[in-house]
Amino acid sequence: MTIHVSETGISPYAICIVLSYVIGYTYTFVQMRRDNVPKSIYFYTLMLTGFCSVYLAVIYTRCTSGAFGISSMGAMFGMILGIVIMTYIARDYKHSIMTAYITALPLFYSISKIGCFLVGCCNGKLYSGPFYVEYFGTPSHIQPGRLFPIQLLETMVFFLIFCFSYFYRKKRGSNCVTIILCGVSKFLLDYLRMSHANQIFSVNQIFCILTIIITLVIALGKHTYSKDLTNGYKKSS
Amino acid sequence: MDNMNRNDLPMSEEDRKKANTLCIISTILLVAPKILSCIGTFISSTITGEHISKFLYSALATRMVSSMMSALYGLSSLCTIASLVLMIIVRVKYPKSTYGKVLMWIFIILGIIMILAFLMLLAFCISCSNSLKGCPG
Repeated sequence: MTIHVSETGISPYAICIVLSYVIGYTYTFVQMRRDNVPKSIYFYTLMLTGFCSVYLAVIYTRCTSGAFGISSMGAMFGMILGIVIMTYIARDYKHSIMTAYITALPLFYSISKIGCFLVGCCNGKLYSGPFYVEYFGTPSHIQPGRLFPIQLLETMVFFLIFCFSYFYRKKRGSNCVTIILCGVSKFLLDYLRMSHANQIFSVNQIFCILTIIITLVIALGKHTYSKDLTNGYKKSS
Repeated sequence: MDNMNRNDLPMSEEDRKKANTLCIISTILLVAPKILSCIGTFISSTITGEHISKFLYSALATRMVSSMMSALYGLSSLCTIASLVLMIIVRVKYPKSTYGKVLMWIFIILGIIMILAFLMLLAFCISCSNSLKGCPG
């Protein structure tokens, strides 16, 4: 498969970023309205998560590569930050907000990766097997040669995670499982990227490990707390 | 009285004061860093302009000013987030606060301006939308 990346016209990368936000936020709107969350709460959550995700997307890129750009990882962390803050403000709707947005996180990511695929950024290692992709064009980020279509693989994997988390969203602990699945997938898929050459762990992988550890600690803490509550209730009754 | 729900009750004086305090802090966080950034930009352009050769350790001064400006811009964005959080707290806890409503509309207008500016950038600045040097994933 060959893709010609043009410098004229609107970038498909930008279109995919905008599309990922539109589709992701539409999904969260539908889910939150199903849970009878007021429109005002949804609107404030949208403002906060939108701003935080854009801010951290830029800061993450600036800190990790020193250049100006946007990072899907940074955007995801920003969105999680916005969700956590909003759950403290609107405690009555904490569960609905968390479930809707954490289920949607892999959906946001999978659509944004289509943009990366179409313009040749975040590309995979050199590869000549089936489904290789070759980019042609004048932009400086274009990597010559046959490459592994890691962006497409990430799109498919994260879309599957989204489907899984959608169908199991009502189960206890599903939010933690979704985040851990996203972290493990991103960690493993990062080995197939060109930028991972000559490294044991990339910056993205280190952040994935930290995310998984923090999520496990929170999940275990909640489990222990609810167990203590149940034991305390049994003793008192 | 029993039939009136919480939203129909007027705001108490204490709630009004709390809401206004939060709104004032939110406004300061929104505006002050921007003003400081403008002052900082003016000072840095003055220091790193024609007068650079007159300063001892001019390279150090330039680096210090550049670091301070980067810190200021970063702080400005953090303060904007904090301002947004405070506005949301006011709108959720004190929905009848007029100051809170005004702040909300300011944020909505700022958000619309930012989105329009971003869309115009995409449409007219092709090299910017294709700038992917920093796309670490």
